[in-house]
Amino acid sequence: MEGGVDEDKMSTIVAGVDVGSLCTKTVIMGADRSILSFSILRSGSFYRGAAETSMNIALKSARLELSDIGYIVGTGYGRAKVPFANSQVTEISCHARGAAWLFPEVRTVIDIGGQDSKVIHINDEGQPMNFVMNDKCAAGTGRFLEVMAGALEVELDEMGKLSLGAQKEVEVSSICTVFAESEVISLFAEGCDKANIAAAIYQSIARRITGMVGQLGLRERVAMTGGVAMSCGIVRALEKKLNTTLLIPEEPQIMGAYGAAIIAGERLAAVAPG
Amino acid sequence: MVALGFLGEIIRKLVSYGAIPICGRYPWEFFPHAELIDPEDPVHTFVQQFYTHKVAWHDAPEGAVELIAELVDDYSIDSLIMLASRSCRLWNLGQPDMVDTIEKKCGVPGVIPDSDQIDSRLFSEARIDTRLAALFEMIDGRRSRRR
Repeated sequence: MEGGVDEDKMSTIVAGVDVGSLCTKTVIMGADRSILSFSILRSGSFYRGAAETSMNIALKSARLELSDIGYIVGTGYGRAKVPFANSQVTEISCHARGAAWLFPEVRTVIDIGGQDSKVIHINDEGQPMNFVMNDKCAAGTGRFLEVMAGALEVELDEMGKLSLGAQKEVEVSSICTVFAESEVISLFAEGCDKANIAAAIYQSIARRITGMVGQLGLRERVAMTGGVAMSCGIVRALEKKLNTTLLIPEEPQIMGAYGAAIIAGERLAAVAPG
Repeated sequence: MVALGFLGEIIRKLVSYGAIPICGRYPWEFFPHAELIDPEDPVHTFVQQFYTHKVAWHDAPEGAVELIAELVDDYSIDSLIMLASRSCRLWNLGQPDMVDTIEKKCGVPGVIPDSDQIDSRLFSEARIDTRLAALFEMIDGRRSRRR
C-alpha cells in the first residue's frame, strides 16, 4: 500500500512507526541510516493517538517537524492506524530487515513481542523466506511475562535477574497463560523459592519458542528482537534450550520500527527523482 | 491455492492483494473425478458423483502433498494457505509437514492461519491479516530475488 510522497518536500530523513499491541515505537533515521531519535510508549486502546504521540516525542527529541520526514512506514498490528504513514509493511518483514541490517550474518530471527511471538527465516538480503507465529494464545509472549510477574509479585524488570539465582528446577506449563498463572500461585503457596519459579517461567517460554523454531529448523546465526529480549532470564533460557548464542540488539524493542525506517529509506530511494 | 476461511473471509481478503485463489484441496480430494461433472448441470452431477464414486482419496498428508504438488505445477501457484481449523483437528494434523514438504519440493511458501470456518470466536481478523500480508511480502521478496 503506497501513499503519496511530496517530491518538493522530499527529505532523506525517514521514519518507522511500530504500533504494537502493548507498545508503540517510533524510529527517526538519517540518510546514513543512523538513528536520530526514537520513542517507546504504551499503545493503550487508541492506536492512532499512540502513533501520533510516539512520532511527536521522537520528532521533538530530534528537533524536527513531521514535514522534515521524507517517507514513513507503519508496521505492527496497528499499522493501518498510522495516519501519516506513506505505506504499511508487516512487522515480520520489518523485524527481519532490522535484524539483518544490524547483524548481516543472521538467518533466523526470534521476535517476542507483547502479544505474539514469531520465528522468521531470512535470506542474505534480510527478506523473510519463511515464518511461524504463535496461535491465539498469549503463552510465550510479553503479556505472559507481565501476568507471571504479577503473580510472583515482582517487577517485570527484576524477574530476569531473579531467575539467574535459581537453585532448583520446577516446572510451569507452557500451554496456557491462565493455567500457568494458577501453577505459579500454587508453587508460591507451597513455599517454592521465587527465583526457582522465575526460572521456570522463562523455561516455559523457551519451550514454546523452541517448538516454533523446530517447525522451521534452526539456521545460524540467531538474533532475538522485541521487548522480551531485554530480559536476561529469557535470553539465558533460550540459549540453553537452542544450544546457541543469541545476537541481541542494543534496543531490541525498537527493531520493528527500525526495520520499518530502513524499508522507508529504500522506498524513498525508489521514488526519488533521478 | 487456498483453504476455506471463516465464512469465505480469507478468500475475500485475497482479492485486496490482487491474488486469485485458484484451487484448493477440498474439491479435488473429496470429488476427484472432475471429468464426471457436467458444466451445464454442475450441482446435479456433483451430487450424483458423491453417490456413485469413492470420495476423499487423498486426505492423508502423503497423498495430499502429491496432489498439491501437481496442482502447484498445473496452475503455476505462488503460495499455499492452509487453514488450521479448530473444528477439525484431525484434518490439520499434518499441515506443518505438508507446508514444509511443498516448500522443499516445489519452492512454494505457505502459511497456516489458525482459525475456524464456522465459530467466530476463533476467528481473529488482525492475526489473519498479518499472516496474509507477510505471505505476500515474502512472495514479492522471492520474486525480486529471482529477477
